[in-house]
Amino acid sequence: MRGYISYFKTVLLTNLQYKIAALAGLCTQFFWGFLQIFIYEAFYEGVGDNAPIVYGDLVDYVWLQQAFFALIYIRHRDDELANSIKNGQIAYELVRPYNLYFWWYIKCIAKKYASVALRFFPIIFTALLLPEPYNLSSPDSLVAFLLFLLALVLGSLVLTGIIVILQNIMFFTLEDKGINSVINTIAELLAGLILPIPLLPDVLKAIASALPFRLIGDLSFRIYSGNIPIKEATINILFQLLWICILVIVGYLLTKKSTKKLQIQGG
Amino acid sequence: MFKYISMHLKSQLEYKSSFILLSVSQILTFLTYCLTFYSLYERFGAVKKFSIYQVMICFSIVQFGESFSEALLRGFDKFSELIKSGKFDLLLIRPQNIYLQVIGSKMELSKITKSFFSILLLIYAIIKLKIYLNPINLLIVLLMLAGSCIIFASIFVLGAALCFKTVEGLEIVNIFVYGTRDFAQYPIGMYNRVIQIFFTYLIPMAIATYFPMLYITGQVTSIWYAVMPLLTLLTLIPSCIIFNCGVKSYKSCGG
Repeated sequence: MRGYISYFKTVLLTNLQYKIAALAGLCTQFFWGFLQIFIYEAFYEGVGDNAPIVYGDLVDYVWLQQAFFALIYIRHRDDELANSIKNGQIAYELVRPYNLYFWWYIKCIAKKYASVALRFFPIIFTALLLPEPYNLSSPDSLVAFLLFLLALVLGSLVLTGIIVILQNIMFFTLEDKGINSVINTIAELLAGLILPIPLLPDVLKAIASALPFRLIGDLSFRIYSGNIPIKEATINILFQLLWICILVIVGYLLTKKSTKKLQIQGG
Repeated sequence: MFKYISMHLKSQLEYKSSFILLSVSQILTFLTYCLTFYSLYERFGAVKKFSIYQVMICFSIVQFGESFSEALLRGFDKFSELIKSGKFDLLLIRPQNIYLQVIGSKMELSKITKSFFSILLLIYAIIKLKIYLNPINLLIVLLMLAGSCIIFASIFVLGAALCFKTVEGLEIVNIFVYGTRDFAQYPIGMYNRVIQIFFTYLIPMAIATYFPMLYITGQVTSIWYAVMPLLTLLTLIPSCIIFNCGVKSYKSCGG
């Protein structure tokens, strides 16, 4: 266990070094935030009230999404891993006395937290200070805020579970573009990354509610603004726990299987 | 030029399954974008005075421009790789136009699938809007498509020119490319004033999409709106000047 914890720390600290990259990322995040808010503003003008999510909640949603982007983004590229499979470096990972699944899991999640740690504060801070219709409002209630934090952390565990499973596919295909980018596109849609889930057509909403992707970020952001009431939120958090278990078990077994079959490429 | 294209097409088709899957994912991305504005329209009805078909026109023109330029001008888009690896030196000693060579260095032809779908959507919107495609209207639509490509081309060339200074590719360029794509896919008229000015004068995407769209859908009658896409050619001038300066002052940095 101590090995895993210190590995987590190492990856976290290494990735905290990329400050300039984070700065560039910040600009992008602000830009996308405003872009989405302006588009929704145009659509909400005149209609507003019968929408499934009110404009203010939607703005909160957008800013939280931008602030915690790394914790919800499914397209996680680990070039190191892809290369290590192609050039045979993976052999070194295999000889370590740790379970490869948890090793990857920790690496992935540590990277995500490093990236979020560098970015979330400036975005949240600025978004809170923005003028009225464009600002991030304060959480719906204290309970909602605490549940939001819990759901966000659990959501990142769901996300990492999904990513490690997707990475396993690389063992079979030896490349990470084709099939993964198809799955990623669908997952993004069902995670509310393209359009918040309440705004999706009803059919897709039904599909999304049966799958784990919406538990990554959509759930926590809507808890924050009160779009999902406390009681429903608690039930959904139980769903998160359930899905984390399922994903970890599936990922664990899949990694075991794929590493057994693995042929080391190159030398 | 065509030799380059066929060469890249052949080499990329060697990885058949990968090419097909990449194309499929292009189509999927395209469909999810369509779904975005479709869902919004389904929920909210018309936005300002624009119908969904007018959005489709702007959307397909912008998507076509982005995917088509990105497919052919990948070399400019990924220009930092040429600089970093030192391959650009190689291009400079060949007795051939430098632009053509950079274009020929890399292409991403699976993006063409998206261009194709954009055209389909454009045709659908034109039929639905009952626009009579006389030669003049057809010409305007072609101008719009070309204008949109030219603007993205200018952004790519400008981004590449900046690489001479920065070596590393700049994320800010991506913001311009994807930002232009995602903002301008809706009629610019629905945004607030600042955004409208930005996309009319700074990155003049609106002159290739929004204004001529107003003309062919009959919302304005002045022919001036229809020929606006021609002005996009002007955007190439600063980009090419800066790129040429970059080439002149280029010092190799690769090995």
